[in-house]
Amino acid sequence: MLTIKNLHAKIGDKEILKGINLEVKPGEIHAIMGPNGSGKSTLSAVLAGKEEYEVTDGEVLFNGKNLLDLAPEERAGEGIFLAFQYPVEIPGVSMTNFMRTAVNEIRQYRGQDALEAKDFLKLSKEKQALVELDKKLAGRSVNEGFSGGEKKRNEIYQMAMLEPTLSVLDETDSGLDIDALRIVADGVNKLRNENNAYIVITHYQRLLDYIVPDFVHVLYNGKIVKSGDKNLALELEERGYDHIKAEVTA
Amino acid sequence: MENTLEKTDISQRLLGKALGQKPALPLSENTIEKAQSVLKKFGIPEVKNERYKYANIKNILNKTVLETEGISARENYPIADSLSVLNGKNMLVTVNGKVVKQEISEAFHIGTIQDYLAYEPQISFDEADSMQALALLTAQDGFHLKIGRDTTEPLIWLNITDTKTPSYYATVNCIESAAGSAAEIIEIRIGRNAASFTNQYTLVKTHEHATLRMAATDENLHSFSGVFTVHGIQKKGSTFSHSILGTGASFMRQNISAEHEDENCHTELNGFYAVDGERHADFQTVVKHMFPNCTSDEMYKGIAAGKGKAIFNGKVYVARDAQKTNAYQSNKNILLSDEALIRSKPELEIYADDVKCSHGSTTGQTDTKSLFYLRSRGIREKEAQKMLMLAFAGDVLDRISNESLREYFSSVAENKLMQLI
Ligand SMILES: Nc1ncnc2c1ncn2[C@@H]1O[C@H](COP(=O)(O)OP(=O)(O)O)[C@@H](O)[C@H]1O
Ligand SMILES: [Mg+2]
Repeated sequence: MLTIKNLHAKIGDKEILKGINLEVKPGEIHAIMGPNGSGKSTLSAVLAGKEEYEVTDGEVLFNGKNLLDLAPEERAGEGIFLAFQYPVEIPGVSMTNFMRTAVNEIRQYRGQDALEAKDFLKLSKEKQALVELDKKLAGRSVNEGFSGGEKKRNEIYQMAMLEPTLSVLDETDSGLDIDALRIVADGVNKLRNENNAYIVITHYQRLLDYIVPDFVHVLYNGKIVKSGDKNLALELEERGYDHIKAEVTA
Repeated sequence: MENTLEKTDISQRLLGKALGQKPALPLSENTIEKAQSVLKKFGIPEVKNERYKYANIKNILNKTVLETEGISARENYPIADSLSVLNGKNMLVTVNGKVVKQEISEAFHIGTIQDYLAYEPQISFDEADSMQALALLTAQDGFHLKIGRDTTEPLIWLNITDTKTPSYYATVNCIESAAGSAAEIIEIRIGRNAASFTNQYTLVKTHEHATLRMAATDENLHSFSGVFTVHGIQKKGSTFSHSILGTGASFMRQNISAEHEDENCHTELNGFYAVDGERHADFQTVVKHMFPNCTSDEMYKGIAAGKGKAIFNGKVYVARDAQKTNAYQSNKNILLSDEALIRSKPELEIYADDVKCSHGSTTGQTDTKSLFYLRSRGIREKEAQKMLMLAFAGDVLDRISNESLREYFSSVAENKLMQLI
């Protein structure tokens, strides 16, 4: 599904990704862990198509297509979804208008007819319930006045609405209390199937108790320095990142 | 040769007319003298004139206009389809300042400005603004609209400029809201045939506890130009609001001033503008807080693209006695091109000590983070930009209280935004 080969990216003169290799197959869950500043959010932004980042080397194939040639909206149409670490507040754009536009733009991209208003509403309610998102929030502007936890649940609601095949969750767990964490994880687990895949970026092992990964990668200083199964996450939890840093610099 | 010279220097001819001939309107001797001395002092505004620093009226007149009086090109004025949403309401149609049609409920009464001036020949105007003096001295026509208590539907005023040749014309109007009345007036400025220049002065009086909401759009002025002045005089407990949509005229200067003559007045001034090509939209607002316990709230937002120019100059004056004044002003701009120009100058002049006043002015680009967020959800760039711009404009448009008018203004703004992005 997704093949990242030797991906290098920079912003300004600063090189952030320094040769990433990753292969994700349908049905898989990959966790990416690593200390702050190692490039996790950059990787997710490059996958989603944020233009500030310049790819200087390498390639990314998504279902055989060269992802880096596509605009962000085309990537979304192809099935990429990024749950933002810091969801953006957009005053004056209502949640409902935003989601209806997004759903129908994506349906158009995928050659499907636009949803009728009542079908959209029904779908929207169903997906809000999935992440226990307060109905009142649908009447507000995008993310405006949402609490930290509501913003994160809103990301998962959007993911559920857009039915991506590859979702990248960038620290969706940070700032969530244990109940909210469980809600988000349950949502993801319900949406999971053999055709879609997840890249779960997290700082803590805790989320991985609920969303059990098939692979765990450690991203450090712009490179994946270690990969393993879910036990690697436990090991990191126990021993911290310092010994990995030491291993790498040794 | 002589003929061409005379023709091109239209501003000279206008000055000659205003200073040398008896005005068409029955102004008092005193008003005529005052207006003439203001006009002599400041002339027809050009860049030297601080008030019109970015609006070289002399230049625009000389470049675009041939005649000093507007002669209309035809008799019949069908209402364009795009305005059909507004049908069925109270309708007032003026052509070059003259009332040609009125279909209005009994709550409104329309007379001529001449009749009004016969009773009140001392019409007040801003003595630092020679365009207002010029309007009084050169206007041929105008109306006096009285608003009574029992209005239900808004009044739609189709303000048509229709001239055979490119002309300057002036018009003076007076709108008076009776004590305790509440009404909404929508002015739709329309340009037909030869592109002309309008100099319009409207005096607005809101009597005790009256509420008057005015909104104006220049969307249908196209290649026309004009200076439009509204001067509001507010009596005790009255509310006056004015919203302007500046999306169409090739050059528009909107002057708005409001002066409180008693306590508990509220003034609300709003504007949304979008200038592209070489268009110019220019807003000058003055709110004079003269009495205690009054409030004012101003919000102007705009977008400049291409080589468009947008100017906002907002002044809030709070007199020493105007304690407990609450005055808020905000001007926000988005620049879409390197060649576009925004000038924003908020001014506060406060002499009272127990007041709450704030103002803010920002000019920036569209927010790339928001744009990326929308696009990452599959929304095409243009659509995403449109959503963000509409949200930007929405703050202002949402302040139009009548729903169908708000929708009309929103659709005008939306169409304009689609052209910009
Ligand atoms: N827009 C940016 N401008 C400058 N530096 C950036 C920008 N985005 C990220 N960086 C830098 O790149 C590095 C990686 O950041 P990031 O991808 O956010 O890391 P992580 O998500 O792993 O914490 C950091 O050193 C950060 O300061
Ligand atoms: Mg991060």
